[in-house]
Amino acid sequence: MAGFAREVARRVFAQELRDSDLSFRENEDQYAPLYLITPTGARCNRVLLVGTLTEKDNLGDDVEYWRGRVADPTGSIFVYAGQYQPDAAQALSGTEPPAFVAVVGKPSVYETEDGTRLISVRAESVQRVDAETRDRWVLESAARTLERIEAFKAFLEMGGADAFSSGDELLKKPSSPADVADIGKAHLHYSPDLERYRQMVVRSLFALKGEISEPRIDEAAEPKAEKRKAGSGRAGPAWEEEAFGGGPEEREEEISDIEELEEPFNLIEDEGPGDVERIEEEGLFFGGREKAAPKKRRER
Amino acid sequence: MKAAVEQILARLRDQNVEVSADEVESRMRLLVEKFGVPEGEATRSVVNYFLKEHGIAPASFVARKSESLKVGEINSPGRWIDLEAKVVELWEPTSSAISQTGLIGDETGTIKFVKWTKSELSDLELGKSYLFKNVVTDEFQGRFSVKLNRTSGIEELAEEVKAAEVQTGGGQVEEMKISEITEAARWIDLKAKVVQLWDPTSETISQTGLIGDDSGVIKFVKWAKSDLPDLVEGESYLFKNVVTDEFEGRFSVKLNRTSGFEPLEEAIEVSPQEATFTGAIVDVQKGSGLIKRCPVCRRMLTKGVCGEHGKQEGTYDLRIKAVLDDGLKVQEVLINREKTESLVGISMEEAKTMAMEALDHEVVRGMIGEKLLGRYYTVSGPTVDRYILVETISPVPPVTAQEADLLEARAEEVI
Repeated sequence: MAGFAREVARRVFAQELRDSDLSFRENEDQYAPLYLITPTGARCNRVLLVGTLTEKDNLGDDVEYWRGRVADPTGSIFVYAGQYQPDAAQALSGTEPPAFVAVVGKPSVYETEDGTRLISVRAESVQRVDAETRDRWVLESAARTLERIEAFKAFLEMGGADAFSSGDELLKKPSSPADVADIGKAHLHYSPDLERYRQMVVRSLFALKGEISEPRIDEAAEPKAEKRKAGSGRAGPAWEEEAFGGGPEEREEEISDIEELEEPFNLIEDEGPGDVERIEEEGLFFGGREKAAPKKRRER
Repeated sequence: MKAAVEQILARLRDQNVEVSADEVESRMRLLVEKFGVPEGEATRSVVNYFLKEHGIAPASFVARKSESLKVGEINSPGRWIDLEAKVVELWEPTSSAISQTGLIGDETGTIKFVKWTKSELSDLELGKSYLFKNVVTDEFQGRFSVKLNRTSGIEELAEEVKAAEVQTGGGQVEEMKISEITEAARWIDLKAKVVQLWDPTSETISQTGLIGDDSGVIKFVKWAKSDLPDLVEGESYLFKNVVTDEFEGRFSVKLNRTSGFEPLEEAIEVSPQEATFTGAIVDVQKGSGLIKRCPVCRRMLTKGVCGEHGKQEGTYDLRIKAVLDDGLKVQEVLINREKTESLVGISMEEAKTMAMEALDHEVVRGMIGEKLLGRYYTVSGPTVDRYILVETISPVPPVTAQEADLLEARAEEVI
């Protein structure tokens, strides 16, 4: 069936996202969507992050170029917004950290000269949200990650990548959270320690339960466990903490070359048909009708 | 490509024209690969090109050289042949360059034919048998057809040619439910009710709108050339031999000259598919917020201009086009004025004031985005195409400790 479907925004915790460095396009076309495969096999062209904006900086000179750090219960990740994401840039510049934010954006991989691959998110939108939304996201991301781990385990029990072509059982699984092929790719590239990600999920749920049971004293300062001192200037502390091993020079380089991460405008996605008004008209028609029993929606 | 080159060389040799295979192939490649000319068309072009080079008029060449074939024997494009066949179907021409098109057949099979307007040949009649002289075979995506052009001829045969059964995708035309329509170009029967008629956007369309049955609703188009009588809104019909179509993943049915319909005694019950979806709002799309609609067709005006009806004063409306996402699937939703007002907590009058003060309608969309983006909602309502027309929308309640416990227990099991 033709038609360009909008890419799903995947739910991936910061820790897993930062462990990711496998990206690919489905074909040679410059407009083919770019995907990032995470260690548990999430295939991301887009992600939704809800967490705490812990710092923000304008890295641009003439033109504003905003970088924010968003932390969830497992770690933090950089979010960028420049002149091509004016709404997101404006929102970032106008949000005083710490604050809960929802970020919809595209993961991008930047490779340094020594081959280290850094993951950041190019924001499409940044929006201040409440703690309840953040909690819901943590629960949801934990659920999605767990589903991926379960599918991955099932894949390994089938014989792993060797049984790739005969992974019928897995293919038959209803609503498999991650495509078998994506799990296969993740397996070959990362050979991930699934236990580590399972523990990450458990930790995130533990942190979440703490949030739910304890009354909030200062909403803006949470999550406590992940609270970081606002980074000083460009060198965010996470670069040192993680295994990226970047010296100051590299950081500068990363910043100056960041425009390379910009992709051409995504022409693939169809942002709505011309006759949407007619569909609304239909809504008017249905307004007066008797309700029918709900039916399962046909998959598109 | 090789076969086509061989064919060209053979045909040129018949005319005592000797050309090297390399020359032919490079010319073929130029047309097919660089300019995207279909192979059949390119074959003809290359033959004509070399004949011309050697001073032979193509018309005289083709007129002399045509073989008599059966439909079932047609296996390559660009061949000039004679056929004895019966007209088994006539279709609606899709272009004014075509005077007639449809299916002709003999006992070995059926094949599509195209009679070009420029051929100035007299019209073929359905069910009659003819000798088709000097027609040229063509191929598109593995399917063959024959073309009747200026050098072709037709002679009606006294004796009827027995034609093989028409082979369509699923064999016979079958009666379907609307929800079962999942592919284009299928000829089907439908029992449905006309739920809405729209103003046709083109003179080639006599009627368009929505028809529905108990499985869903679908857009229909009745072509002006179909010469069918008018459908009445609210009436139910048996639609016969309509063809499915698809555009950007959305299906419709077309009524053309071979289609028909008859009124039904019983009223068809229409119920659109209902859906419920829970997820985060990841986008509040352009065209959300305070918009102006065309007073004629209700479409949104862009800078005061309607795509169909030109510059219009327009009437204000408030609505939301949003995308929900649960990390596995996306769901597009449409929220009407009434629901937008209660969801966002702003009346249309307030939205107008807001837009007026800011001198920009987009501030309303921005404000809606601030309220909704990133937040979780459950929506339900009928689905049309890829939208849910939102009837109810409510925020997802805060996470409970129980939910977290359940998931934690599940996480403990995965070891």
